[in-house]
Amino acid sequence: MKTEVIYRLASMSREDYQIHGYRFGSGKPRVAIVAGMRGSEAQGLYVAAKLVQYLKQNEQAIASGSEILVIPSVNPYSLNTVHRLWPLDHTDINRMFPGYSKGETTQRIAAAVMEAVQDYELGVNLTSTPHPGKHVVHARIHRLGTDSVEAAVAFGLPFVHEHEANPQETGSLNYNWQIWNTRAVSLAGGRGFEIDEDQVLELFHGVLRFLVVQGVLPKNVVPVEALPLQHRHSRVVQDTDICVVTTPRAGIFSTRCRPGDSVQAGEVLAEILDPHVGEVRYEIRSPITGTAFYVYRAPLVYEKMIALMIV
Amino acid sequence: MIEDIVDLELPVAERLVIRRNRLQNSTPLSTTKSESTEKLPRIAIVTGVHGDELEGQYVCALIAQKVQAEFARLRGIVDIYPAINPLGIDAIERSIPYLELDMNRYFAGEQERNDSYIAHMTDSVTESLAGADLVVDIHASNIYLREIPQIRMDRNTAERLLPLARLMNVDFVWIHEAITVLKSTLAHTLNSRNTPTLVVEMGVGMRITPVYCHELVQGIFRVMTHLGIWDDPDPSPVKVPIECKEGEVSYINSPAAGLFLPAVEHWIGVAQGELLGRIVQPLTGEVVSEIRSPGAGTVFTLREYPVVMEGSLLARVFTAAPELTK
Repeated sequence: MKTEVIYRLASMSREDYQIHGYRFGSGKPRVAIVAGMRGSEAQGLYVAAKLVQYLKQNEQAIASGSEILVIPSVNPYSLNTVHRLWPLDHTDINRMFPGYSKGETTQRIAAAVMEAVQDYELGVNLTSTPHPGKHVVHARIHRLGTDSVEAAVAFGLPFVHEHEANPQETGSLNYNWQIWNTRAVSLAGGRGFEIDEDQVLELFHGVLRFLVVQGVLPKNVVPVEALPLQHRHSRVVQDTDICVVTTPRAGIFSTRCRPGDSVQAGEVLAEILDPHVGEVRYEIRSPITGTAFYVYRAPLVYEKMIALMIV
Repeated sequence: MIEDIVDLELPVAERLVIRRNRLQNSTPLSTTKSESTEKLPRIAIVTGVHGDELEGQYVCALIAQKVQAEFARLRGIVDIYPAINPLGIDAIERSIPYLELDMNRYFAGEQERNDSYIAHMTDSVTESLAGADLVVDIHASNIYLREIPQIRMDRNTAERLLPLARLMNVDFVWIHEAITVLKSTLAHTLNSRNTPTLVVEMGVGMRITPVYCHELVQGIFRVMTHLGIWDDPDPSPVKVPIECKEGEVSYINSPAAGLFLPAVEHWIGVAQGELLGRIVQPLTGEVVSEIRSPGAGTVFTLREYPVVMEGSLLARVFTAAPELTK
């Protein structure tokens, strides 16, 4: 394992900002794994840390001529202040790619990250969505012509979400990786600022499975749960396959539904309660039979927020 | 007439309401046309998309006062929208509170929605503005930078918007390249729907600069006269703005972290190599960097918020007009 500082910036009042990289194996740049781009992405940080620990212990097993780079935290400043965006100017590093080395601070950070990871054949970003609820673990790719579906299903996660990039997402690492011919997959799940131990394990095993399928790691070194078995087929869903259920009323959001639950058409999945007198303002029912892909998870909900996504 | 453009339920004993004040005088300017068949000309003054920008609040108040005080001059409709992001203004937050999303990135109707109540707000605002003869979207920079009163437009819209911008009594018109992320702004969405929309940037976040507000109000009444909304047979002259294209702007980003102490006034001519400011380290007092102008020109953007990191924007210099001073 080689440790390096990929980028460093001085601050007026804090210790220097540093991005650390961990390299394993040597030779062709095969896989880059990037996490902790936002202060809310501690779950991805945890998964990346487990990968660093694992690769350190099993470095001799990495296929010869293959190099893996792991960057567990692009954004320690925001992780340490529990702030989703960049502390000084509230910009989002993951909307600044491909970056600009002479531009604003977060453009410079994005440029440094891009330079470090752009020659890799495969790119994995452990990321999150800004939704205030919880997702199932899934691989997320953009439709850009370059075929990332094959790479995405190799993680063997329950879902692959093939998502059409909106104008802002043209500034994401995933999008720009693909512009530069890296096959890129984002892994998302859970809820910002939280860690779900089961999801951490699912993501960790998913990445190991991916490394086995790509021929970077041999089967005999990974835990049995991470082996790429035939029955682990991901379901590929498009934006239009996701049934979005919004709230027609506001109030206290009460639910026992969890992401990944099987749900029946017509089943009551959540209630919106009057916050002063406790009466049920609205019962949210599943419009279809399927799996809960996302469940809102905050105490209070506005009118016209996304309560559930069912696939 | 005060109307609710958006009315959404909030969780606890409150509603999220976006209001507009419609000031309307149906008396037609020309007596030959029938009032009922003539579509009244309409201008909309919009501000508060970013909750930390307050210059437009004062502009709205000044326009409402003048229109009501001289109501007989009104020949059409003046719509005033002071608070597109009312919770942000209340919370002193640029973004939409709670979700921390920049509302001015959610106006493009075709994109995936991060949350549908934001889409409901932006769609309702867009629908209510579409078809106006002119929309003026007033921004106040941010808390970091002070801006001279200016209008910004992408060059694809310049042909249509420049004649209107020249009436607005601003100092500066900046014609920039089309930028992908700006496709989801209010202005881009309305312009692409054939509703001319001018973006004004002036002053600094969280403050009001009265002189800029009064100047802009004068320009808005001048453009209203041009559009037949305001009857003024002898409109007062307006400034001829400097028109600037992308290649004529130098960006000065900080090479170091520390406190930025400017050495020049805002909107002033500078020589090549002239000292613009210093970066100092408060722990030691050390001057870690001296910032000098890369060329002769005019400082039209100047850092207001003192704390900087490497990369923080300190100034923009317009390099095609070296001798201008205020």
